[in-house]
Amino acid sequence: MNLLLAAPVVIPIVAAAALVVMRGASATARHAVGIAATLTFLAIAVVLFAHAADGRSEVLLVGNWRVPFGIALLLDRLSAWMLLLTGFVGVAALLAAIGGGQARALHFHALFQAQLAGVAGAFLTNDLFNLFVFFEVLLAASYGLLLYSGERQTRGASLHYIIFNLVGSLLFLIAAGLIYGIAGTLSFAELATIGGKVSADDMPMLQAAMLLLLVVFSIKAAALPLGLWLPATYGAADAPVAALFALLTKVGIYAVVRVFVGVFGTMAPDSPWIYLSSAIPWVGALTLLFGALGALAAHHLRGLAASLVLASAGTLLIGTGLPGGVAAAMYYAAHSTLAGAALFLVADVIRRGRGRVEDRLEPAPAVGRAGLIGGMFFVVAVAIAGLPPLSGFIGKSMLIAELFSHDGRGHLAAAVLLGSLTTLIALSRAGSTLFWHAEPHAPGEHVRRGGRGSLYGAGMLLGGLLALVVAAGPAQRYVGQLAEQVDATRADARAILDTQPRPQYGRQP
Amino acid sequence: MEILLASGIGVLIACGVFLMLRSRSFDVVLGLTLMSYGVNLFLFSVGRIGGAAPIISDGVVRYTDPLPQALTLTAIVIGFAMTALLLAVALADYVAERTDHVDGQRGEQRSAAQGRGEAE
Repeated sequence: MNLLLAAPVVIPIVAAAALVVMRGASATARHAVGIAATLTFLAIAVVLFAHAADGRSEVLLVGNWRVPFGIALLLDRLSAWMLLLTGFVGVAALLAAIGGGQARALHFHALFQAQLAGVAGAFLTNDLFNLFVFFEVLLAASYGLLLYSGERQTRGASLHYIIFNLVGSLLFLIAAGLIYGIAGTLSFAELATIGGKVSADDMPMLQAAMLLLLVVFSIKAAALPLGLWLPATYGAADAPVAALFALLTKVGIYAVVRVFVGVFGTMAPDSPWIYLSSAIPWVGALTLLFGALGALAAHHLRGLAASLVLASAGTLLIGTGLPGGVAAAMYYAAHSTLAGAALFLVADVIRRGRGRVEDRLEPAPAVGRAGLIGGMFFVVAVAIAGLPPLSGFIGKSMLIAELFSHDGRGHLAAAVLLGSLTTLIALSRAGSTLFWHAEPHAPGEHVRRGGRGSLYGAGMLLGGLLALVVAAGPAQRYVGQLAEQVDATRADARAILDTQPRPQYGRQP
Repeated sequence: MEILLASGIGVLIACGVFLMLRSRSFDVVLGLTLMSYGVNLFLFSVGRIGGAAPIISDGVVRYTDPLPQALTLTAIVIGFAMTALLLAVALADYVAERTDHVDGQRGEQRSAAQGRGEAE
């Protein structure tokens, strides 16, 4: 069981290396390796999820060193939940990329696997510096995935994205350095024990380090002043890549939950997180409204989808900043990743079906299979806007119920609802322009069809959304237990520190 | 020693930030490089400066903390790779756009300015 913890990182890395070597092989062979690796990833994620659902957390000491000396991988409900989401979105995005032809690009599969490895590593690691390393792995792969199409617009957006994230990495290093200098450790399990031991002289330094870390995670999560790169970058990416990128902002949210709620939040009573956490929901609310306004102002459907990713990041931040809001945030994270990714893929189908007009929100001849595609768009729109009966409604109602249970946070519910209303208006306007303002086809022009791969990918993601609705009860219970388990000071998290290395072969233990 | 190290890191970071805020991609790359030098030095100094021995040898009781050195090495490797990648992207952008402005939009303006220069 223990060694299986390394599999979500090792399998994609090995597959990526094999795919780089296989550059001479046929596209079919590369597709086969890519699909096999991603399906294995999903299968392992399911096994790990089933294991973590019982509430047992598993620890793997990498290199068989005890925790202060080596790095541990930790599987608990939070990491299992995120891994399952990664596997599912990964398979859907790969399906779309293979069907849509993007996966024929030379190193697409290798970059895709490297991306999965980076994301999985970030979810599993229990060490701050290792988190930095996996952030770099997933960023390096995302640069490649963004760039391979080589279009002019993409290149400009990529340059900004790379520069911005490189600065973020430098800030991460400074923060990690400061924390190591003060605490003498970077392991999450050990950091959670330093509360009260930090001297009054060191406290301002620790607070500065935490603020820097928050800036870094906000860049990843695209929180407001630091999220302006997102709409241009995601709007310029190819649809399957953008669908996978819908997951990347959640890595930032995950990091906030793991590091701030889990580790620093518990350094009571002098934890700076107490001050920070009251500010974060407001940042989230601003991000949400900004994203919703961006969706209203978008000229094309991909830009609209990208702005909605920003809006969902804002909603998640509102949840993470609340005591007890983590459960709602994690349910909503799964929902918004699936729905956001599905919207990117549906936008791609529409873009390919409309010819020269692409996905610009202008009247044009209707897409082929308008009933099917319009129906999918409708379902995704209902989910994203948070209308009943889909999962967006469940997530948002959990969040709003949580907001009203805290004094003085009730007016944040207004921001959530206003964001939903604006999103709804933007999506209905886009939908009615795309599907109802259809012009007659010019004589001789045939109905275009395309984007079969994106259609399948979007279908799979919609299936996931449906599963979140059908299994809403168990899912809510799961995220509720997840939120209780995040606290790194509880006994079974401390057990990481006591985990002994296995006795080695040929040596007396 | 502390003042020298601290001001060295400060100067590197300040120069890096200044260059990074400029609008040409080459300057930005240089700025990021300088900043990463500053950050690497900072990481190195986190293990405390002082005369402790780094390598195990007889008769020595105080050793310096090896972890910041490992962190610095990792940071150097990653920073180097990322800078190389950024340079490749910036170069591709320059070749395609004929301008190294980070927004890639100043091509027309510059060629217009060159046109004026030739006319004068």
